Amino acid sequence: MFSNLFKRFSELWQQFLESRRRGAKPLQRPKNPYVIGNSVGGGPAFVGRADILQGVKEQLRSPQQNAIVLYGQRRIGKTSILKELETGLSKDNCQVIYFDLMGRAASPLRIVLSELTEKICLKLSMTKPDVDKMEFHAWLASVVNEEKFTHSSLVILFDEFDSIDAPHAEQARDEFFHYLREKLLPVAPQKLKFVFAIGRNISDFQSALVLLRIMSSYHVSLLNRRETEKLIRLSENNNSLYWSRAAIEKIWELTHGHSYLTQLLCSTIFEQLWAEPRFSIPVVPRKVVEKQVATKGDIENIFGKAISALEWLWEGLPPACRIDAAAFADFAELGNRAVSQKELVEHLYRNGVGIVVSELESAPKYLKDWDIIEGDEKTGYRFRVELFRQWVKLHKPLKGTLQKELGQIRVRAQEYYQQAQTAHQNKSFDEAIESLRNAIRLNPQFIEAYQALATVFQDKGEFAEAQVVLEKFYSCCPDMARSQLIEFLWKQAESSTNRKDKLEWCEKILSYDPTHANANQKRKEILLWQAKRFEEDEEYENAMNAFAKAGQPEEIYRVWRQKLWEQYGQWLKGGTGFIITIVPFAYFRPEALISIPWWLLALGTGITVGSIVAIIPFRKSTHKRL
Amino acid sequence: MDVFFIEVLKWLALGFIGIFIGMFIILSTPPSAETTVTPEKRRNFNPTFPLGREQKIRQLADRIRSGQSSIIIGLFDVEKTELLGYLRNEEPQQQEMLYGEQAGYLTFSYVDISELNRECTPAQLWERLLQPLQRHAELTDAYQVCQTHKFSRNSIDNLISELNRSGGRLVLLLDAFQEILKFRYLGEETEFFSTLRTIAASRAPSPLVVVAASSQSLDTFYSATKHLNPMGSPYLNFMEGGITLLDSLPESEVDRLLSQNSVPIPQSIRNQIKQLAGGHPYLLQIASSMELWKEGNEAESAEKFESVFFDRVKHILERMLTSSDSRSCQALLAVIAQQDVSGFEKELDYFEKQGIVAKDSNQWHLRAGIFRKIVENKPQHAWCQQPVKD
Repeated sequence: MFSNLFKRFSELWQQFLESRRRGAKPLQRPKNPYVIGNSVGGGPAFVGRADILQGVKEQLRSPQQNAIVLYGQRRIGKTSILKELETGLSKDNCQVIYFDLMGRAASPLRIVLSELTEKICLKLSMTKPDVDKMEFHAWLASVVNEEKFTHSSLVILFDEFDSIDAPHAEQARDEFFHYLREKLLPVAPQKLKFVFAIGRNISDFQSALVLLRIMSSYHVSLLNRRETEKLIRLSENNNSLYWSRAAIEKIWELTHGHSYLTQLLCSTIFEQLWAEPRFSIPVVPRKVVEKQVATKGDIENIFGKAISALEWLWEGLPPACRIDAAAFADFAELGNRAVSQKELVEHLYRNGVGIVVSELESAPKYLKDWDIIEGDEKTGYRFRVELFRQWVKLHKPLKGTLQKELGQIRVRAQEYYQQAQTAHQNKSFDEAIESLRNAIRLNPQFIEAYQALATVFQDKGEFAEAQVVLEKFYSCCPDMARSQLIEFLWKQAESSTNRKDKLEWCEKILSYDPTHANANQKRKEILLWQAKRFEEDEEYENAMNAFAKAGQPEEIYRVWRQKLWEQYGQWLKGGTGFIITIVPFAYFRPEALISIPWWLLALGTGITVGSIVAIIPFRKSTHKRL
Repeated sequence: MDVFFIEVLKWLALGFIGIFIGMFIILSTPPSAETTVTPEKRRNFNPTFPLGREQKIRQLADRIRSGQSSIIIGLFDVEKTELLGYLRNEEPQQQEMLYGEQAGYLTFSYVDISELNRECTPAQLWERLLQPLQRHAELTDAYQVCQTHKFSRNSIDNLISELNRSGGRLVLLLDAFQEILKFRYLGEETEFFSTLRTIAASRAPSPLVVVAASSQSLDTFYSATKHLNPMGSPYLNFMEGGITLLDSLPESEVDRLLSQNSVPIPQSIRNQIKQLAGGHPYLLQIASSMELWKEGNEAESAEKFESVFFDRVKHILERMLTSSDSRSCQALLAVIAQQDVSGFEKELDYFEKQGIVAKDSNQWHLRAGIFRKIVENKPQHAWCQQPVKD
């Protein structure tokens, strides 16, 4: 009865809602407030980064500092910060020039400066000077010394600064960096300021390291929780979408403040909820956010849009970091817990990494610097952006990644090896050593690289280093390394002029190969020679040890007897002299002689004679041991 | 006890009455007039065209309204061209329907990249793209500066900034965008792409919006242009937020669309359409527009249908197959011939999204049966000539 009543009530309720819908007009589809792809600086969608903006502004006010670098991963919001600075600094009475260096890598310096001049002239409403007749930095100095810059400054924002670092345009790049460092930055530090944006770590930007190290730097990282919430709630500003607290919590769990992914997720939800006509402003519950990552289809939906950005982020990681990231992504499936370095290494072993190269061990630090993971060795590491972790888990499984990236690591190691071969042929030993060390760092089982490194050290005359390399090689692959190590040690033994050193080399050889005939022979010769010298110097213990090492037992007995004679022979001689002396006295007993009792005379004479006989040496050593 | 029970019932009744009154007040109140959202008046898209793409058009129009760029990726060139045509249709009512109050501020520039000379330089291409801005009197000076400076990046930026100041927006509709990689000066030089990115992506909303139609994904563009800019951001990453895949429709949606056809389609023909056209709206649209069943009996129509449909789509599908890269083509041929498809997962996933193939109990099979007839039409070695794209 109750179920019928409930059904009837439900029908009436649906009819009521339907009749209301028919009467009401649907809402106009509002504008999606989330911006994906374009820079949001200077607009209402720009959120957070107050610390960076404040810091940059303060730095730019400083008379000593005129160059700042902003660095962070792709799609983290660097261009938006530059654009926000462009707007903000303009309000602070600065003239701001935004200059994108993308696509200018191959352009000669003259062209780049000409375009910059044109941009500055357009901004300052000036006539473009003939830059061929005047040097750019001199012209710029004259511009900032004009009256309108008495109380203001000119700020040039260089976006995509690292795109200048193209392998096919090294000369143009070096010329540009040199010009910046030597000519442009020192022009007028108080009036002319520069901000550079790069999409990688400063330490990875080797070619510009000298330039960048003199600048203050700001890491553009993830947004904090408050900023993320503000970003999510952008839709509430134009009354297009309301967010429940639980939905915001879930988005934070998934994106952890990654501005691009947060906007992408919010935008996708916006599109879904406004796909059909609406009669009221939707409120986003947690389950709608959860649905985005609940099934494969929906994941594809979100990741289908984010895939290029995520793929690019992935491509930017070195091979070892990709392996570690895939391993961390595996772990987090077990729950959102931190993973220690030890667990990571064990997991890699279980998945078929034959040997954990140093690259893999140091990769967590790089991943942390790059905002992929957080934590430390003590507390363990965990992924920062859950959405990225899920994408890695889905698209870059550890097994496949291992196969591909380990292969790549080996290819890179081989490239280093080839570079080293060329450098070695050109007698550029240091360059060859550097390349070979890199090759071994990437692949600790790279036999040829060890062999080549030892050879380069030998050719360079650094034998101690060569020995260290060969011994390290031996510890990793004893069977492969033994012959080269022994050959090296034998050469050292042969070339040594000092018997003691020679002996040490031989003993080292025998520790690796106890059957080495030459080393055995040479060692025996040296030991016998040493033993004789010891014997001559009456260092019998050492002599006996040397004979023992040389395997000469009869010689040991002989030396032992000699030692005994040397030690107790004086007493024997003295005693014999004493006895021989007192025996005639005891037989003849000459009492009348100078009224001294015969026994006293006998004792005195015996002691004297015995002492004299005891101190007479048989021979004296004139040899010196070497 | 009785008194207490009656008292509880009384309060419960009062509670229910309160809830009912509250709900009645809430439901009878119209949506707040204070919100910025006004009643919908432009949701009534043309139901006949483009079939099944209403939501995609709405998304694209929204991206244009918010000054953001998009890329349309799909199998059929004609469908993409029709979609771009729909977006730029200058009929005021449709413009108003799509872009609301911004309709009057949009300037469209449609260029079919495949029709341009492959020797075209970046400056010539920009000149062609910016041509419609010549109509704007307030931009005359800035346009002349562009011409003087041979459409340099700064001069184009200046022109677009002028357009922005006047409240206008240029929408570049670039058809057959994948062809741009074959251009001598565009595929091998950075100037065009970097200028496009700098101008289109550095503002929000941007006064320069790009809507590109391509048969290739953004990843393919990234791979093809990575050597030009190995350390920088991808040139076209500003389109990432607006990837519009012209994919297939679910079975239920196909049924709904076929049942809503202006001329009712008999059930047997509907089944035949589904078997031949699969789930791709463009093929469905061609099939459902033939109206063979209008005259004659159902059995006769069904007989005729297959051959007429084949004639209509033959060239489109042949072109699609021959312009696909050899791996994609091989994957499709392998499914048709029921051969081993291992190693073709990526390609088949794409065709599945397009409604051409489907996967049931781990077995791939052809969903759009017409492809079997197309492939049978030529010897096997005549297909799959294009090199692999990436």
